Amino acid sequence: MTRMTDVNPSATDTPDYAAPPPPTAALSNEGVNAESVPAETLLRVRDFNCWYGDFKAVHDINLDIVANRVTAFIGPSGCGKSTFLRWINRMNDLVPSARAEGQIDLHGNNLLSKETDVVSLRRKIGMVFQKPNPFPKSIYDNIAFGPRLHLKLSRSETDDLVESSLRGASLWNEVKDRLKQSALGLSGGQQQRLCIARAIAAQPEILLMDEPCSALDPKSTVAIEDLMDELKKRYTIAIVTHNMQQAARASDFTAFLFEGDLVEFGDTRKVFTNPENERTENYITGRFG
Amino acid sequence: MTTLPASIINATPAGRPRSIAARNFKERIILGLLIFCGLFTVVTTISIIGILAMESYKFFTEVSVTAQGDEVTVTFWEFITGLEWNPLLGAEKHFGIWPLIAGTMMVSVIAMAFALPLGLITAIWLSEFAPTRARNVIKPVLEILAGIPTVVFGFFALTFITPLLRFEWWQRPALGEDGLPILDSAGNVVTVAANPLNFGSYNAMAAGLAVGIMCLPIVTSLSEDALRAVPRSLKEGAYGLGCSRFEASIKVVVPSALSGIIAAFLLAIARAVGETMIVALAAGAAPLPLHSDPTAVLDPRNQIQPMTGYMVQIFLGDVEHGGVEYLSCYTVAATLFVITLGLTILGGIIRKRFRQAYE
Amino acid sequence: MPADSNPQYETSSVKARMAKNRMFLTLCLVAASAAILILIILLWTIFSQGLGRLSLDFLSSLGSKDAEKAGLLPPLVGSIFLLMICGLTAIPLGVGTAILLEEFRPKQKALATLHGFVQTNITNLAGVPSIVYGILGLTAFAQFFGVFNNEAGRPFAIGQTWYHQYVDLSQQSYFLPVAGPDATPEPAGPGLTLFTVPGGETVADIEYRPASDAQLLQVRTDIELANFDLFLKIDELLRETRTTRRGPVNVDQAKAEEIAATSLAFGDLKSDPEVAQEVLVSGLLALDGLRGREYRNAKSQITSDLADLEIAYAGLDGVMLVGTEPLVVAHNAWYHISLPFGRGLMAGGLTLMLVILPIIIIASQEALRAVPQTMRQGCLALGGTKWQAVQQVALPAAIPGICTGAILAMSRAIGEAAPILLIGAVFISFLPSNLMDGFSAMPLQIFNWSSRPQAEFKETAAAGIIVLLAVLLTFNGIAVWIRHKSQKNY
Repeated sequence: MTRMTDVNPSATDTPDYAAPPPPTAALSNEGVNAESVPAETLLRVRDFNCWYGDFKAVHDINLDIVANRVTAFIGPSGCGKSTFLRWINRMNDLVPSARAEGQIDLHGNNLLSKETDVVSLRRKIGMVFQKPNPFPKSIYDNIAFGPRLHLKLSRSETDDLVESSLRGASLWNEVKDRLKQSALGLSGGQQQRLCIARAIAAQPEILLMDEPCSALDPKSTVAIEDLMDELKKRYTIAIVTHNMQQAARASDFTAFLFEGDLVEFGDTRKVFTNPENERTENYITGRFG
Repeated sequence: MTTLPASIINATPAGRPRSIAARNFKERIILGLLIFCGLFTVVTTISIIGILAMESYKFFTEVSVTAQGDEVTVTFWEFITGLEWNPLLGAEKHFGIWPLIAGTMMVSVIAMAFALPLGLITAIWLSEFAPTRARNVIKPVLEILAGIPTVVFGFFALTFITPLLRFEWWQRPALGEDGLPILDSAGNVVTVAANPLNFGSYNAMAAGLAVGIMCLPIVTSLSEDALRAVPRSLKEGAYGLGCSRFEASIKVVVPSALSGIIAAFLLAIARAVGETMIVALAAGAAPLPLHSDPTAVLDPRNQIQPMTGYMVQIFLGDVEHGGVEYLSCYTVAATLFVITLGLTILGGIIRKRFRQAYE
Repeated sequence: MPADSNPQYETSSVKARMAKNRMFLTLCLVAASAAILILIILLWTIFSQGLGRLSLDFLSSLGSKDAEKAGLLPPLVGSIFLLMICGLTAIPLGVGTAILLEEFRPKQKALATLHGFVQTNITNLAGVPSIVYGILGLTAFAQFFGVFNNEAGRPFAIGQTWYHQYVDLSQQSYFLPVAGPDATPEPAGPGLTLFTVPGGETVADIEYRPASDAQLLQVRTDIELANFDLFLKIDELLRETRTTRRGPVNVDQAKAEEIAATSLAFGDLKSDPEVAQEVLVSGLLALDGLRGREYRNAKSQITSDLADLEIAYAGLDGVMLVGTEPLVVAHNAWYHISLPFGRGLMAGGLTLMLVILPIIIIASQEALRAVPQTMRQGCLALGGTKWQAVQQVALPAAIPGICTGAILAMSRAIGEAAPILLIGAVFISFLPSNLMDGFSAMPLQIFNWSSRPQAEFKETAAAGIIVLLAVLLTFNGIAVWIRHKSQKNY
């Protein structure tokens, strides 16, 4: 592989990329400090309810997801946190019995409306799954997969994108010599970072992570948590986790869901040190869940 | 902690965007093509039913002239209750389906009497007891048997099973009417097969056994699937109660898999009923004379004619197209279709129930 | 078991149980080895009968009424064509249906019901006896439900050229291209191009000039007079052959006598020029092997006379064409298509497609189902459409499974005789030149040979079966190889 240069800055935004350029886009190439970025609400969730058939999975959720921050969703199994996350990029459309009401606003458009082009939406809202799911293709093709769906790319543009995405997921140094080999040959942690690289290669605004470390060993988990800290400078991250330490370590905001209700939502430090609700306290101190 | 490289932070999408309208259009075209594919199978079914129904209707309304000059039609009642099937020979034609159904049943019963016990026992052994090495031999053998074309089994019935049944390796002198051996022109004694059991050179037994061999792999693999679908926990529960492996499999696994096994049996019977080439080669071409001798149905030594065999005979023969004999084929085919469809649907329902119970 | 609670009975009960266990295991072994035994006997039966007939000649010769000469070439070629037609149609249709059923499950209730119906329907189609498919294929593909037939009962066709066929005195045919089957015969005269072969390149260098009866008579007389001397010479030679024997003579005595008898009855020769030619040829054959200058001279004389005779037939005065009512013949190009398809390769292949379609669909569905759902979700979450998820992720991962299923379905198709029984023909001694041509297929031919009473044909059938099994084994081998190669973890 040849040495790559930075991405061509003159390339234009795609028309379906309706968002204004992310606030970080203008930053210089010195490392960025997350706290220096102004907090601004990106996703506004109002009166959100959803069902599986007759079973109501989530009741009346209202919360704001702030741009360039990590928002963690915690709660015991079956509390609806994954379901909620999967409604943000409408993955639940694939479940025949699932339906939702309420509003999830992104740039003034309700994502849940029927008119939403879910395919373009999912491009803007990337997702990383519980189990790493690389395609049975080469590492290179895995990363280039998303961009190729949406863009006509020259060879060198693709090369650049693959490199920058892999660097973004801190995987470049490990795989740069075997980009043409099957992605299935990577270790579990590497595969998950590959999936993150694959997601960011599609240039999303928001990155949803559905228990991304649950299938990984502790070392890989740390790597991914570090990565999240870096990624939030450019992306808005929503993560579902059953690991409270992870939420405490890696997130800026935490939402605690219990039996479909949003019990508590706020600054992570506050939720973990001084929760308002007794149930939250019971959960984070390990009395149930 | 690493800092993000500039490239990722400054990244703006490179390349030219693909058209969303074109993408959606392509998506629609492809869905349309796929729906066309899916509907093709529906059209196939409708066509089968339509053709069989139309031609059967023609059969029941076709006027034929008897030797006495009377104009007659075959009534539906005569068709489904008649005990004589005699469309080609004789002054009076008879179209009662039962001789053909009885022929089919004879072949199927013989086949199943062979294939079901053998297949089920093999399946139990394969799923419960067989060591891996034995499995590695038996499974490919069954797969090969399953892949052999039925015309080959027909050939086998004709050139091996029938001679075996007729004891053709044991020749005895042919005796003339005067009780003395017949000599040929060179003065040698003419010999014939000993045939102590009096099997005909075409008979239901040979055809039935060959159909049974054909069905054996089907019974085995479908029953084995059913047995393997029984959860381990059930078996382990039986072991926990002190059952031996034999008892666990006979008293717990087999009853639990029973509906799956029955479904396998039904599907195998459907295959046997619809089998054509074996019976066309080895079963003969004489419909059972149920009207004169109802006990003939119990004698597998004589030649018979099943439904499929009749169809082959008519379609390969030179009967008049559109005549009542030709049309009768469609009615026989409709009967066959209804029977096999019934068996397949029943088998499918039972198998579905079984799957729901354990999967 | 109440007996178990009583310690007194327990030991004997355990013994009985173990005995039962052993008996059952023995039974199992017997049952399982029955399958092996059957396969061995089956193969022995076939190989012991057929191996002797198997040769390259068997594979490369045409059909024959003689069991020893009958070859497998037309059915072999027929089977290959059938398989291509059936594969090229069944695989796209089957995989398409499987994708629809597995990947595009509708959410609306009515459509979901329809979806379920299509699924059930496919399971049921898999159980339909293949001869019923034969009836469907005959009606639907060979006859198009009787829709396309025009008044003349002739199908709509492309790639077909029509000729009027004329025959001259030497039985040589000449073909005059005409507009269609109903064209009126051209008036006689120069300037019309005749071909020696329909659809061929070779132009006959004679003129189209129908002969009157008087002319025909004249021609015949001329030829006979011209060859009168020759007949006498042959007669003389043969008489000599019978009486004098010089050197090692290899004359077919019976033949010579027969020829002599014929030439003696010269009166018959006069009325029939064909017989005359036959006698000349036979004379040549009879003289074969004779030595000595005299005979060599006679032989070369006959050869040149024979050539003269042919020229005389063909070119005498340019008056050549017998009769006035030409035969109407069609020549079909390789791309010839007729609607309806008629009882030809196309109808046969499509019928086999119907038979294996459910098998391919079910196998493809299983292959697609084996691809983890997370793969598709990965693609969808990147903003892929449903079809992109299928085309780029699910389908490539399912390809090995689909291939295995398709190959096994094709091996089913190659062995099926019942569905094409109504469409194919057995006594085909030519190779198909287009997709509408009549055909034979290996299982059909085997069926036909097996059903004949002569023992020699049983051997021929067994040899055919060996070839068929070899093809099937190759197919299965490929399927196993693909399955083995593609065993990967997701």
